[in-house]
Amino acid sequence: MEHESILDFHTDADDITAARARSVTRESQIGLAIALVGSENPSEIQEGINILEEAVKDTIHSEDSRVCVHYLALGHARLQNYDKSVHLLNALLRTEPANTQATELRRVVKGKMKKEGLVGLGLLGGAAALVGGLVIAGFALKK
Amino acid sequence: MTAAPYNYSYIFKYIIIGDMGVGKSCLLHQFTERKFMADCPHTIGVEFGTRIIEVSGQKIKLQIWDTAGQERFRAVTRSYYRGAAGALMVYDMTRRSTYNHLSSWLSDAKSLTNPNTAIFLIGNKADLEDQRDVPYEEAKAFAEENGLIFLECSAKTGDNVENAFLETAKQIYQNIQDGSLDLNAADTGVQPKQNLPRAAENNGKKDCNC
Repeated sequence: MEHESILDFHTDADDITAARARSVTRESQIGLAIALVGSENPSEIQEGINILEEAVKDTIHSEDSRVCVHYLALGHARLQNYDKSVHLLNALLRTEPANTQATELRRVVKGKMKKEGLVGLGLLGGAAALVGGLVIAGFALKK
Repeated sequence: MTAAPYNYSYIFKYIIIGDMGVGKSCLLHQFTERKFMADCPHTIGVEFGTRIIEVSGQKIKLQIWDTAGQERFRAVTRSYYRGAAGALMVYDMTRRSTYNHLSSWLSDAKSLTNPNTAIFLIGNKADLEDQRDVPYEEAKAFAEENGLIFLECSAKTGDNVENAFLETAKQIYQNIQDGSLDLNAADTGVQPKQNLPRAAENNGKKDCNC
C-alpha cells in the first residue's frame, strides 16, 4: 500500500504548478505552501517551510496558525529535521493539549527519530533554530 | 488501535471525502471508537483510523484515510485517492450546498481511483430530520445514475454508521470473490495477508499506526 504513515504523502507536480499560478492571496499562499510540503523535491519542501514561517508571523487567525505550525512540523519531518519538528509540535501542544492530530504526528515523528537515530541533529543548524524560536514565540503570543 | 495480533486476511484501504463540516471525521470516530465527538476541530490534511471487521467469516482490516474538506488541502488529499478500494463520499443532508458539490468530489474520485473502487454516497446528520434540505429520493436517484450505493446515517446517534463501512467492505469482498477485482493489479487498495510486507507480520514495533 502506498501510504504507510502520515508522513508518506506527496503532491503531484501539476498540483504544485496550479497552486503557484493561484498564489496571490494569503489563503492561496498557505495552500501553495501545503502543496509544496508534499513535494518529493526537498528544495520545494524548504520553499513551503519558508512561506509558512512568513505566514505564521503575521497570522491572527488561530485556525491558520494551527495549520501553518502543523505543516511546518510535517515539512521538517519530511526533511528529516525530526528534532525541529518535535519542537514545533511541543509548542503547539502546549497551547492546544487536546489537539489529537498534533499528538499523533508527534508520536510518528518520534518513532522515526528513534528508528533513524537522528536525535538532536537538526540539519539546518543554528540560524534555522533561531527562526524556529521566533516562529514559536510568535505563535505563543497569539494565544 | 492497539497492537492486536495480525489475524486478518485482507487490508482494505478506504478514503472519506466531501465538503468541510459534513461530519467525515465524526463518522470515522463513531466507527472506530463507537463514540460521537462533539466540537470536532477541522481536520488538517488527513487523519487515519483502523478497525478490523468481519465479512463472510473473513477478518478484514480497514485502513481508513479521512481527508480534510477544506479547499487548501485538495492538492495533498488527492494523493490519498490512489489505491483506495473504497470511498465514502459524504454530504450533510441539512446543507444543500454540500450535496451540490458532490459532482466535483465524484469526478475526483472517479479519475483518481481505479474502476473497481466501491464508491458509497453517504448522507450524514440523519438525526436532524426536521432540518432536512436534501430529499432522500433525490439523493437516491443521483446515486443510481452514477452507480453508487446510497445510505443515510447519523454520526451523532451512530445510526447506520456500521452499515456504511461494512456494506462497502462487502462489496469489495464480493468483487474479489467474483474476480472483477484482480488482486495482482496495481493500486487496488486490497492487500491479501500473504503479500503484506514482512515488517507487518512481525510483532515488532512499527513507526506507523496501521
